[in-house]
Amino acid sequence: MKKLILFMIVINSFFKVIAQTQISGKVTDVDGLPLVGANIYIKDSYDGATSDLAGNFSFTTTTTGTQLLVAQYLGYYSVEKKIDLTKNSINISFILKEDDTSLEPVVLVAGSFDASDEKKAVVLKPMDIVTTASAAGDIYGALSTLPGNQTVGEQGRLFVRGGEAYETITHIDGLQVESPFLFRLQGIPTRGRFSPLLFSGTMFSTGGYSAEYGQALSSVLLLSTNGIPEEDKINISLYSLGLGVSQTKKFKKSGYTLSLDYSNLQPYFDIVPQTSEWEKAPETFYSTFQFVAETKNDGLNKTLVSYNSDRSNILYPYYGFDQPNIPISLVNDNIFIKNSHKEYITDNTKIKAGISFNYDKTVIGLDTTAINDKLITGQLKIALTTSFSNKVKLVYGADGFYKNFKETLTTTSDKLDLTFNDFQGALFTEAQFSPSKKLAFRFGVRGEYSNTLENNIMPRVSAAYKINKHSQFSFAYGIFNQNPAYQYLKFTDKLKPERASHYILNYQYKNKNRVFRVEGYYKEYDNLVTFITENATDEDNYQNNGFGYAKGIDVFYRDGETIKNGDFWISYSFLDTKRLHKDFVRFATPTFFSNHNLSLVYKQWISKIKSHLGMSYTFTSGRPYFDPNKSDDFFLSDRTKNYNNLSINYSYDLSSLTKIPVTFYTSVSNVLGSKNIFGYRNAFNSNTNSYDLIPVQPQADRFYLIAFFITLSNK
Amino acid sequence: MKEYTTLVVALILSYLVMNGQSRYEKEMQSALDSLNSSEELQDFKKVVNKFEQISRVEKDKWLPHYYVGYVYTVMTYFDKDTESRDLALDKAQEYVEKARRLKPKNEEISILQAYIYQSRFFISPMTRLTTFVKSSKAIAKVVELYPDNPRANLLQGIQFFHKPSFLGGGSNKAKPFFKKAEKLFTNDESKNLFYPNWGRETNKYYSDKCK
Repeated sequence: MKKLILFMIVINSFFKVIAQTQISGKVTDVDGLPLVGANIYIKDSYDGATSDLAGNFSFTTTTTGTQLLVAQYLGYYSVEKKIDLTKNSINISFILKEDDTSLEPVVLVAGSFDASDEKKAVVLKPMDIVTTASAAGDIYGALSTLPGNQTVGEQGRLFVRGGEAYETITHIDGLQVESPFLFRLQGIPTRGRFSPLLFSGTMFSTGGYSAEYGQALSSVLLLSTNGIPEEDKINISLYSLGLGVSQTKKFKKSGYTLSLDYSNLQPYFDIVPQTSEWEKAPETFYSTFQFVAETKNDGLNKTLVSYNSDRSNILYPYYGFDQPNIPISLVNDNIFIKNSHKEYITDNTKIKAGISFNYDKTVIGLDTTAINDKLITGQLKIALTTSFSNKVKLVYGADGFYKNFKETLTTTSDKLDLTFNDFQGALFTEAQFSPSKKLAFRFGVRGEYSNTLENNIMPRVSAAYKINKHSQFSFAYGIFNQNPAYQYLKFTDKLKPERASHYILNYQYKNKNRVFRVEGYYKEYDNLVTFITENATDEDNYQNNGFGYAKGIDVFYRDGETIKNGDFWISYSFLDTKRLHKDFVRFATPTFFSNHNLSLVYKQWISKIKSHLGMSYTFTSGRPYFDPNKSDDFFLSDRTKNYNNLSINYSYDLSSLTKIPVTFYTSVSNVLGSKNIFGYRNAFNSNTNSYDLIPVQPQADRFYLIAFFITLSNK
Repeated sequence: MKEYTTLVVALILSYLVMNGQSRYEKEMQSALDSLNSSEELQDFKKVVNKFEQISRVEKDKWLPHYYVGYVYTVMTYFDKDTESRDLALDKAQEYVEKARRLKPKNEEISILQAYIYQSRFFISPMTRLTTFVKSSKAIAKVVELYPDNPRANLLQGIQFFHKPSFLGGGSNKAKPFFKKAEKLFTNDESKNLFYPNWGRETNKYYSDKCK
């Protein structure tokens, strides 16, 4: 027995000794750097090892004969080598090449800032809007910190790359929003009608955008509304300007959110003195209802109903006349309703369809005169996307837009009606072709038909090429048309659409949470509307004789990596723009634009004290103004002083004190109290027989906001 | 003599069993032991390589595939490089799908899938709002389907714990789930060999934090 056992042990160890081969070596990348944690193994066996911190590996195997030794590492191509296991030890090394297929494909980014696809887009996320210090919760305020945007403090709208505010069009779920801003008089900054919390995706294009979108000379802002809510909850917000309540309910395959919000600036204006005199400070009521439902074939149907009303009375200065300020009353009501639907109609064709209705009514009361503006628009849109392979995609669709504008001017003795009606149809198609992960093209064309204006064909092209894992170039070209504003079309039907051509070249470097991009552009304007103010009501006064250009360089750097729990971005824009349009007497830079714009936004989450701290700094060089005491040769040749604004915000999670979730939020704009001047108005002074220059200033040096946000959920 | 013969047969048999049939069990056991003693990224890489190797040999067993997916997921919590964390989760996703094909409708596989979504969110909590919604949905679903699974409860607890309280999360909301998981973990014996039973320590870590 003993002998036998001994024999067994001997046999056993004998087999082991005989059959064992030691395999060792090193795994590196093409640059000779060690790959740590690579897997080296004999194919179809249990034998293998992991490379250590120096890239070395070593193991023994009992397999025999000729085998395949494999080295594999995450993100690299695997390498197989034949080995002969007759020797006692084998030394073998591997050099692994990075796997291109694990590369993120090149993206057509020229002109656009995407904030919806989270893995790809590191440029701007939906949450960023709410947490940007200078934005005070306004979508447009946050976007104005991106490159290509001009800070125009007295407006609150977007001025993109030498384009005026009307040249940027907002879309919600692909449908055009005709009046996205609250109505304010000249010189009083406005803000967006829609809360940023309604949206989960933001795509902001500063030029060269897809043929799917028309009627915007400079820029489109594409907002997509939230999907099905996650759970039932009630949100309450109390802030220094008003209060809001919203209720969210989730069903099995659908859900809704109903929000009501009321704000009244009167108490605030009583405490913080304002530049303008108000008889009644703006009082605004917002209400939105969102309903989202999942449908068959991965479909999603979204409805948004919004009603918004705004009232104010301002005492407007009677510039140049020795008279008391005139009271002007403003009443605005707005209804926006949309329904959009998307689903797969076949395995590779997706349909997106939408319908919208917009009603906007503004009454301006001026002494005994009333101006009553009513705008009704409706849109119907269908867009299909067919993927022929993962390399070729075709987008095609149609768009119909109806507009009805009516202005009624009533004085004690007179009544004047001005109307404008238009039906516009558009067809668009766009082919996207990406022969490899490194190269992508997009060719598109949009044709627009209008029953009052000229028809148009607009080509759009863009391309992108990836140089290496982190950097890429892209290019975009396109022609963009936009119908003249209602303020002209109500007097004349002889105008053509205004036109802009964009040429954009972009370089982007992206590594983890760091993005650097530089974009150079040239934009040419044609058919801009010109007129002479004195002949306002004469229909032949309005011509398409204007033209202009805008060129510049935008630089953007965002870094969410270097500072722990911190994030910052820097935008710089250089702009050179001139035009002849409206009532200009010379080819000049419009009053809105300055050569240099700089924004710095910084956010820090401090978990220890459960606080979020934000800061933003904006600088713009002087803006042009006209001193009418000088001759026309000096038209818009003077510059205001530079503009500076440092804003901060702070939020604190109070939940540990209150037992229910409560967040405290506060923000202060222009902390340093810089005396900013946006421009000058002029008024003729009969005493001195010359023009007085009256500075256009912010409504107050600083703006303060304090808020509490409370969430109640039934769990 | 007869006894000798029996003994020899028995010995030979046990030898064959040790070196043959039970290789899978031996390798699995050793990989699981290494997993339990893993402390840093390099350790996890070793373990995941081991499991991957087993899965390549044992093509029709779901457990090795499951563990590849699991270790690639756990690994992301020991890795600072966001890019390689995403790559690891791509790999985890690939293996959880393989496991699901081998063993459809398994509760542990569904839970691992939810765990992968959650880990995806944790790579960049400040910026991955959509991922957050996706993981919340997946977790809510496994908790609804398997209310008595400690891992499902643990994931739900973690999800609430990291959700800001003004959005309906917070430690108060997370606590009951960790409590329930704790209870369930005491009876969480492996149903059969190598059956998933991870999560006890993580649960303790979080429930201590909730106190």
